[in-house]
This record gives sequence, C-alpha cells and structure tokens, in this order.
Amino acid sequence: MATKWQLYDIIDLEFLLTTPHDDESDRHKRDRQWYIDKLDSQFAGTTHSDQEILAAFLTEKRSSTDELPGRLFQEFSRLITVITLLVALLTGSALTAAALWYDGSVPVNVFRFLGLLLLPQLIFLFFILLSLLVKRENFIERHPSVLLNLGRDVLLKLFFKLKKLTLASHGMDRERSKTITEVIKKHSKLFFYPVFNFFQLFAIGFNIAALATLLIRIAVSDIAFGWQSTLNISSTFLFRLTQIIAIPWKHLFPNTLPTLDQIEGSRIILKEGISVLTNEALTSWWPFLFFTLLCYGLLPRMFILLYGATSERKCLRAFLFDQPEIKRLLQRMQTPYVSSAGEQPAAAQQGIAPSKETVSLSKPVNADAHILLPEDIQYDPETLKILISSFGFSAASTQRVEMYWENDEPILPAAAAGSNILVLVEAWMPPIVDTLRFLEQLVNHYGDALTIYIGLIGKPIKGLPFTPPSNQEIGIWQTKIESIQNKNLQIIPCTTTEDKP
Amino acid sequence: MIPQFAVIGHPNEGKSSVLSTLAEDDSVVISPLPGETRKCRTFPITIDGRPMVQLVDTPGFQNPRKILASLKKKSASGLDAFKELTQNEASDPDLADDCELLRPVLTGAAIIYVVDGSRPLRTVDKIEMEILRLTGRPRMAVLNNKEEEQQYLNGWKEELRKNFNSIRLFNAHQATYVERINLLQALKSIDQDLEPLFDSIIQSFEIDWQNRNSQVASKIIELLKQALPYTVSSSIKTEDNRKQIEQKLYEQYKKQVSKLEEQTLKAIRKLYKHNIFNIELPENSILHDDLFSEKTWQVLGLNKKQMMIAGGIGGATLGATADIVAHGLSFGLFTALGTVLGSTGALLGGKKFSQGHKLLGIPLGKEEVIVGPNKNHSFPFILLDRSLLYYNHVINWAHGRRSHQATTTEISLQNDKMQGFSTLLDKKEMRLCTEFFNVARENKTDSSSAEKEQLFFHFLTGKLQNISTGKQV
Repeated sequence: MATKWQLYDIIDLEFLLTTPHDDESDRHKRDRQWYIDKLDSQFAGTTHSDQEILAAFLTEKRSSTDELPGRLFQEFSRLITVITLLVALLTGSALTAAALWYDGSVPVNVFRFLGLLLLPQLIFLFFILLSLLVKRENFIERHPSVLLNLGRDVLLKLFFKLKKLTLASHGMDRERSKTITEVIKKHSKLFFYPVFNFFQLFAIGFNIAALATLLIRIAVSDIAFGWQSTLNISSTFLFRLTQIIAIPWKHLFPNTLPTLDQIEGSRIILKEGISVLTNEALTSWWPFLFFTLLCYGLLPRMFILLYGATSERKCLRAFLFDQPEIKRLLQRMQTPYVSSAGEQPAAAQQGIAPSKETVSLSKPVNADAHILLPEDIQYDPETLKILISSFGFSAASTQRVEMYWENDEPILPAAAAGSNILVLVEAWMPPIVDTLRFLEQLVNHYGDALTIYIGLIGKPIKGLPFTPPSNQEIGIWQTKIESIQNKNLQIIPCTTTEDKP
Repeated sequence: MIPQFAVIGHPNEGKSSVLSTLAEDDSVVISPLPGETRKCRTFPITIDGRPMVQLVDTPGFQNPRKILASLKKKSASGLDAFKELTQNEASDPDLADDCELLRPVLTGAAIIYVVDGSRPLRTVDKIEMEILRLTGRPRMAVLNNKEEEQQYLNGWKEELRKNFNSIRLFNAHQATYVERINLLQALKSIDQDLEPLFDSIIQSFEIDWQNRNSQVASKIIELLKQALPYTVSSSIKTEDNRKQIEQKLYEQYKKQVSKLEEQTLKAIRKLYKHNIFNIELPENSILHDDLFSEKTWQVLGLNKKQMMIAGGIGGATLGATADIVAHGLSFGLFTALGTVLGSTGALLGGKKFSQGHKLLGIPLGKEEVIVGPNKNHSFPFILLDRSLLYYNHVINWAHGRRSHQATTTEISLQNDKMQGFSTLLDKKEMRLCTEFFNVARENKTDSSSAEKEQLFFHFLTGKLQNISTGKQV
C-alpha cells in the first residue's frame, strides 16, 4: 500500500513524537505496547511495511488523540488553494477580456493576444524547466529562486497571521501551535514543492479562465482577428511559423490552423483599413489561438503540477523515513521491550560506612595471652609466633576454636586472673552474627574484668601468609563491634610489616 | 508460576553486584559494609511486559553454623525441615536475615550461590554449601572473582563441584555484554526444563542489545549531521573588527560543537541504563581532554597516510593540503587553522551573503563572516573516535561497579600515539566514511545521499557490535 504522505502528516507526527519529551526507555515500553495492542493483531501473519505501520499509527493516534495540529495546516492549505484558484480565474478572465477587446474598428492582433497571455507564461516555463533539469545538482536548493522563496515567505507569513486568528476556534493549545511553527522553521525546504505547486495551480486556473473567456467571447460576440507588423514579415513565414507551433495538435485537428490565404487575408495594413480583409480570414485565427493557449499554457502546467505533486510526495516520503525520530519509532514498535530492573525501589543504605582513614589502636606490649585460634587459620609455629608478637603478645597458651559457642563453650578454660585473651580472626571475612554472638558469649564467659582482644589479620598475598588488614576491613570490624556495644571487646590490627616472615 | 532464581551467599561476596550487573540496574545498593541487604528484592526479567523469570537479591548468611545445627536436629528433611526451621525461629531477630534469604527458596526458587573466588575457601563456606545442598533445589555457583586473584580458584571449583550443578566464573565489576549473556546461558544448566524459556530471553536480550547499538549509531550519525555542517556567522560592520569577530565566532563554534557531542555521549550513557552512578573514565583516557584540545587532535582521527587517502576521496582542498602538511608538526596551530581555513573557504567559496538569495546573479544582503563548516578531513573521524571510545567505556562499565579500576576489556591508551578506531580502518571503510561525511557536511538529502548514510549506519552498527562482543574492530 503506497501511502500518500502530506505535509500535515509530518506536522502531526512531529507533534506526536516530540511531545512529551519522556525517557527513551519509557517510549520504547509505550510504543511497543501500543504496537502489540493495536497493530500486531491487525498485521498478524502478514508482512507489513514501515509505511503501513506508520500510516496505521497515525490513523489510530488521530482517532484517539485530541485535535492534532496538522488539521489547522491542512485547512490553511485548502484555503490557499481556493484563494489561488479564485485569483487565477479572475486574473485569467480579466486579462483575456482585455486582450480580446474589440470595438469593430481594428481586429484583435493575434501577436498582442499571444504576447499578453502566453509569452510571460513561456518565459516562466522556460526557467522552471531549466531549474528542474539541473535539479539533480541541487540547483534549486543552492540557488533558490527569488520568486519561489518570496512566495514561500509570503505564504508562511500569511499562515502565521491566520493561525493566530483561528487557534481559538480550533481549540488548539500553545504546544500544538508551536509544533507547526517548529516544523516550518526546521524543515523549510519541505515547503518548496507545495509553493511550487501553488504557482502551477495558479497558472492552470489562469489558463482555464483564459480559454473559457476566449470561447465565451467567440460564442457571444463577433470578434475579428488579424495580424500586423512593422517588420517585413511575409505571410509565408507566418504560415510556416503557425505550422511549427501547431505541431502538437495539427495532426489531430488539422482544421484549426489558418491557411496561407487566410493569413494573407487577415494582414492588417493601416493605410488600407479592414474593409479589404475577408470575413473568413478574420475569423480563422481563434481555433489556432485556443489550441496554442491550451498546448503551451494549460497542458504544460498540468504536467508540471503532476510532476510537482509526485515529487512532493516522494520528497515527503524520503524525508519522513529518513527522520531519526521515525526510524526510532518503528524500531521501538518492532523490537521487544526487555526489562530487568528491580521491582521495589532500592532501600536507602543503613548503618555507617566504614572509615577509610588510617585506624590507630593501642596494643599491649609483650603481654602473655591465651590465644584462641579458629580452625581455618593454619600457620606453622614460627609464623604464628611472629604473628602473635605483631599484636604485642606472647603466647602463653593456644587453643583451636570453631567460633561457634555451642561447640566451643565446653572446651574453653576458665581464665586466670590478669591473663589476656586474644582471638585471631581473618579481617577479610566480614563479621557475621554468628561471630559477634561468639565474641559476646566469650565476654560473658570470662567476666567484665577481662578485655577480649580481637586480632585482625589481613589476606595472604603473593606468598605471604598474612598481611596487615586494610583500613576498610578494620573499619568494618570496628563498626560491627561497636554495634554490639560491649566495652570488653577490643580490636587490634596486625600492623607491623617488619615482622613479616 | 514464574521461575525464580535466588542469589544467595555469604555477606560481602558480591551478590548485589552480580545482580546489579545481570539486571543492568545500578540502583542496587552495593555497600562496603556487609549485611546491608536485609530484605529480598525482586528483579523480574520481562519481555513486552510479560514476566519471564525473576531474580531475587537476598541478605547474606548470618548464622550458617546455627542453621545447619538446627537442621540436623530436625526430623523432617528437605524443604520441610527448612519450613519448620523458619517457622520456629521467626521470632529470633538474630535469624531474621537467614529466614529472609531462605524465603524464596522455600517458595520454589532455584539457587545462584555467589562466592568471592579471590579469597581462600573457609569452613563457613562449606557449611553454607551444605545448607544449600540440603534444600534439594536446583543450584549453580557463580565465582565472582572480585580481585582477580587466581590462586584460590581451583580450591573453590573443587569444593563447589561437590554441591552444584554448574559453576560459572563471573566478575561482576568487569562483566561485559557477552559475559552477561553467557551467564544467562549458564542458568539453563540449572534446570533443563527452562532451556526454551532462557533461549527466548537470550534472544530478546540480543535483539535489545542490537536495538541499543542501532540507537547509538543513529545518535552518532545525528551528531555528525549536526556538527559537520555547523556554522556560526555574524555580519561585519567594518573590516577593522573582522579578526575579533572571527575569534569570537571560533570560540562560539567550538562551544556549540562540544555541546552537541556532550549531549550525544550523555544519551549513549542513558541507553545503557547508567542512570545513577557516573562512569569514571580511565585516568589516561583521551576523553578527559576537550574535543578541540591539541592532544585530542594528536591521538585521535586519521594518521598521515589516511589523511592523504581521505583528501583524495573528498577532493583535494586547500584545507586538506594544510592538514597533511600540519599533521604531526604543530597541532595547536593546526586545530585553530583547520577551523579558520573552513571559515576562509566558506568566505571564498560562495556562501558570502546572507540568505544566499540572488536576483539575476546579483547577491542580495550584506557581508557576513561565517565560521564553519569544519572542512578538516580528520574532524569527523575524531568525533567518531571519541563516540566509539565512550561507547567502549560505557558498555564495559558493569552496573555492579561503583569505582574505577582498569579492566582488561578496556582499551589501553598510550600517550602520544594514535589511539582511535579510525587508524584501524582500511581503504574501503575510509571511503565509505568519507562519502557519508561529505553528505553530512553538505546537508544533502537526495536518494544517493540517503544510500550513503544507510551504508555508514550499517558499517557503524557492525563496529559497535564488534566492540561489544570483543571482536577485532
């Protein structure tokens, strides 16, 4: 299906696609859903072109949306068409009537008639054909005709004036009205062919009126046609000239040309007057004039209008499907909308972010301690000794623990007065509730008088069995230990790098 | 019922990062403080509004030893034991996280167990694996190698194989599009019945990705179509102030073109759903430099040989000759010169008078200074390079990532060497690009121009696809 796109379609699409300026993802969701609901069933099982989809989209939107701005422009175009035709008919008939003015004394000079009604048209036609011939090189766009641009500017100004007056009657809001203005400003080259076509329409109206006036005058009055020239033009030359001019129609209507005798018989020589001219010769010209005006005035304009209208549609279609917004719309409609975002909004972050500042914590110097060693921490005795000393302790005794109170409680010894407890933990394993409850139970077990030291060990890297914990790891442990509010728990990070084995 | 996948693991192993990256959702709270995820959060994967599967982010294990000990005491087995446990212990605040994380499993979710493969395996991990095994639910393990430490991976794999149907290595901070698709492919292995479902999801993800690449290509084309013919102009009152006006217009030109570029890059970022966190460019990225900076023009765009080819394709102009001569000599001069030459060219070339209207060859209107369009052959390639470099950063910036660490997938940039994609173009590609740039520069709209644009669009989407799939550009 070849859709005949019009300028008002573009205005409506521009309005639909540019307002409101929502997110691309939301647009995809909305357009895809619309496509599935409204069009997918319509086109199910059949191949469908982008043109069909877009046309269906526009039709559907027009029926479901409030007044779109294109209609205002469409009405304006119709109004201008009617005005153009009226002005053309009036001008054509008035000018022809003037050219056929005959008071019975001097016959109507065919040269004057053609000069007035056809010659200016032929000059314009020549320039139009010339510009169309070289259009391939974008001649028109690069060297815009003053007349066409002027015509465009006048029409657009007229439209803006009219728009203000008619907006209220159409119930158009500011947004809709703005779209028309924006389309005109943004895509002014699209208005070349419409203006071009208005000119052709005017010429067609003009020629129709001229031909009609000629026929009416011929039918209702007695008009004599003749020819005269100061130059030494022979009747034979003029005869040959009429034969050449009549090439387009003479084979179809051979009786429409004046014969040599008739041409000779219609020559006006002032000193001889018209009494010598034959009646047959004086009336022989009008069919020739009629067909000349028809073939060189009306028909070329009709062909050019056809070309202009076709080119306008071609240009609009090419423009339309070249628009990124249109391409995106078609893509949004024809590709599935995929979403994987979280359902509920993300909860605000609770708690305190661990400090990234260097943490300085006091530690005992060479105090004896009972070392609680989780089962995952496996060092040889020498390394373990260095590690423990890096915390400021010397190991009085060492005991393996699971870090799970139910299992560890039975095997834990009662602490001697004044002794220290050092629990070694891997700082890179974040403290979980299991660990925190174990530490709390440990405090309960040994009583308030005793401080339980938590020795933080950093991750083993590059062959080193242990390293100092990072500030972030210390911060995390500090935050978690503070959260259980037990003053008998104190963390000590392994800090000394010189003690590395 | 919609299939569910619960992402479970020890605190701080990167569950939320994995999910954030997999779901392309940077709104997931990824806290350095462990245990911040307290409630399950659902991430439905929907296609055209139809939910296909649900991924569920869960809190980390807080009492694995206690849970396992309780389970062992239960007379019931399988999920019934878990149900009994969660009912009995619901009032214990210490077990709140554990009950919450088991909730989706109890309603039938399959399990994605996330561990940090860059740390050693510990007893607590084995306990967690044992708990998950006891659920009897289909499960896979994701080794999220947070710090790219390789030495513990084998130990992990060995232990994971005992308890999981499949294991997948996945770095949530560096995962590319291909790795995301591969992880989705791997989810098929959890349950064979889900294979057709995942095939359709993966197909939709791939179409969606191609769609986004097409949108990026359109946005880059739009940028080129706006920036290449861009001009700024001002009328001259007297010849005395011509220099001043030229300089002012030149600054205005640079500002506006940079703004157009900035808008395009922002739109690209949004297409890849980076809505909350800024993408940090690598420290030595050329994108830190302004579009018109000397360094940008040194390291992006065309090399000397390509400049000559482009000059040949585009028609040797005064500007092109100067470009070739100036390339590698003085780029500070070159960049300014390039644009001013554009201006001079425009002044000499014909668009000399306002509106361009002529009546019988006689110009109407007054004289104007016009800066632009930039006729430098390297300029569109620089715009292209910068857009592609930014695209490369965006697609390699995983949604679970919150700060910059150089990744292996990002292009390594060396100072003072040509770094853009343009230098990798062959002669045929150069011709295709240059022909489109000429079309864009002259604002042509005929059918032959549309064809050239279409060819460039296909070329560009191909390049974007290659960049995103890690193929040779």
